[in-house]
Amino acid sequence: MHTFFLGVGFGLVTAAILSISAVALSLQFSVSPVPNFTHGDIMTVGAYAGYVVLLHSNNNLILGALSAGIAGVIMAAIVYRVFIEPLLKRRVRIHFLLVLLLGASIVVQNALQLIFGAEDVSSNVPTSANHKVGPLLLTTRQIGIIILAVVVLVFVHAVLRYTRFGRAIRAVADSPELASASGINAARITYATWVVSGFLTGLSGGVLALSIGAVDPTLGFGFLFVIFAAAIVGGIGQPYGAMLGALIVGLVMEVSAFYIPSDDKTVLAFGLLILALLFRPQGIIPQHRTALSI
Amino acid sequence: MSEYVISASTLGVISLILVLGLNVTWGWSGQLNLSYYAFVALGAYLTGVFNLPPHGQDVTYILGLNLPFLASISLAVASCAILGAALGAILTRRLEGYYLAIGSVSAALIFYTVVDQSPSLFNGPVGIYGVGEPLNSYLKLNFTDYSALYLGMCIAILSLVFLVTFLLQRSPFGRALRTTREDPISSAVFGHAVYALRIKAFILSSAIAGLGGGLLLFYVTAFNPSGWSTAEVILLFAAILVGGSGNNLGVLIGGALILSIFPQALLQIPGMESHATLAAPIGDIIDGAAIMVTIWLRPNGLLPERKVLAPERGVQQSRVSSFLRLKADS
Repeated sequence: MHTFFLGVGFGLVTAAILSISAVALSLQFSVSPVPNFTHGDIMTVGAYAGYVVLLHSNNNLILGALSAGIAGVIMAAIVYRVFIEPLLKRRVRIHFLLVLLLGASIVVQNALQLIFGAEDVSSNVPTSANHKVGPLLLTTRQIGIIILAVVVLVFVHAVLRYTRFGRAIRAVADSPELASASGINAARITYATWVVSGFLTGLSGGVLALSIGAVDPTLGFGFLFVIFAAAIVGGIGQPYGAMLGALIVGLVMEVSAFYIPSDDKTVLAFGLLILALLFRPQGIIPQHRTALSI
Repeated sequence: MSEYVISASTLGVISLILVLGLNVTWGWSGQLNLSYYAFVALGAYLTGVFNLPPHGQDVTYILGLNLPFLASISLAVASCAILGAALGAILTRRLEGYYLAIGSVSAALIFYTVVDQSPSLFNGPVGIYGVGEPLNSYLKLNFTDYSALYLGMCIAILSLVFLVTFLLQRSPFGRALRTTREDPISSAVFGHAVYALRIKAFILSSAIAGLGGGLLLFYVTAFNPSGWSTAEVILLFAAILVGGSGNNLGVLIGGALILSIFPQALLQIPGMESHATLAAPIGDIIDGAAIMVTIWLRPNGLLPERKVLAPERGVQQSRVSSFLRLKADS
């Protein structure tokens, strides 16, 4: 029983990181018809930015998180402005765009390898104390990560639900043409969504590196398909589904790691992904789409 | 010819075989199959375990049948074809486009993790090694002559694969496959079994992947998980895109450029050889950039696929007759 709760604790932390990242991926995908294959590398860039700032700011975690997010914004803006927007306009096939994003991903990974080397680097953030939370055993940092994720998700929810910007995002996600017809600048909303989700992506990369304790150039790319698993189990393009998907994938991976060899946990995540794709591609949350539902 | 040139050319020729195989799923049937390199690996591993003697103390793997070269490579190709059919049947049943890409890459990653984690299968992270030189137990050639012979053999197999793909592409099967790429619904309306055609593309592609993997194994005489990853398949995609998706000759040119000429030219830059840790990432950056530039400037590649108007003769006649009719009208 003890190991089970230990697994649940780790699972909640993984789910927290995953959910920030998966929500960002889902937001991007809801406004652009291309799943962003550079998502993992935007995370990696955020992780390295956080690492550099932590080294030079005497381990100021808030500055580190902010810089990770800003690095993510810059990367996402470049990817959107240079590849996604112009090539969609020129009606390049989506397949080609995907391969192009994979190529961009290779370029980013290898550029990072040239700058920082292929080996792990780790910031020297001191380890934090353990706390008992109910049956769970968590470090201060892990609790911080979970709280951060909850705050981010509540914030995203509030923005999507209660602001003009959020309504505009949902309108564009439903139909860019209809959104434009009702006076929304769809191109600008799409770009703004990419910027916001770029911030979340970079932030999640920084948090992931902090949680693992090390960064290497393939950190995010290795994690990318776990994030896809979370986003797809939740229903790709649906931010709320992505949160639930992240919780499921995170818990399944970390709890199982105590019962099967820990490296096999990704097999479970990918197994879930394939099953979800084959049997429930619309996600686990049933969709009620009516004209009046907000 | 120096040994270095022979060695580099052999690798280049084997990569061309791999490129031709990937072109079947990507170029002809338009499926983004990212599990392709898993079949290359599977072909290499299976050829190895069919060819090697039963395992000893310090290395473990399944089978170890000690079969001769040709038998082991043919069995590996057949197994890859069967597993390709199975995976294709599962994945293409409901998935296409980027969902197929995500599904196939997950399948490849599952296979990768399983191979890496279970030493009893193909000796885990260390991989299989000590594969002998095929046929050389009869021929007893020295190393240089043998390398030249193996290069010749690979060139012969490449020519055969090229001939087969060339003929298949122009066959009714190839045409039908390309209709499923352009518009699967119209293709189905015209009576093509889209699902079956896509599975056939998977089978052909996986078989060629297995063949290339087997040849690769006999070339490097060892194979382990560090030799294959998602990045490898992206390089193959780069080759196809630069050359011209769907065009067999084009992908050969792209394959030679991206997989052999660029990397070798990079090594010729003075001082690069002493910085081996720099050469690999710079090479990959160039390949990634080549993908981006190609899709930006020439999405159909250097040698675009020719639009086939079938039947050619009939089309020309109708053009002539409509031209004559226009003349008559004016």
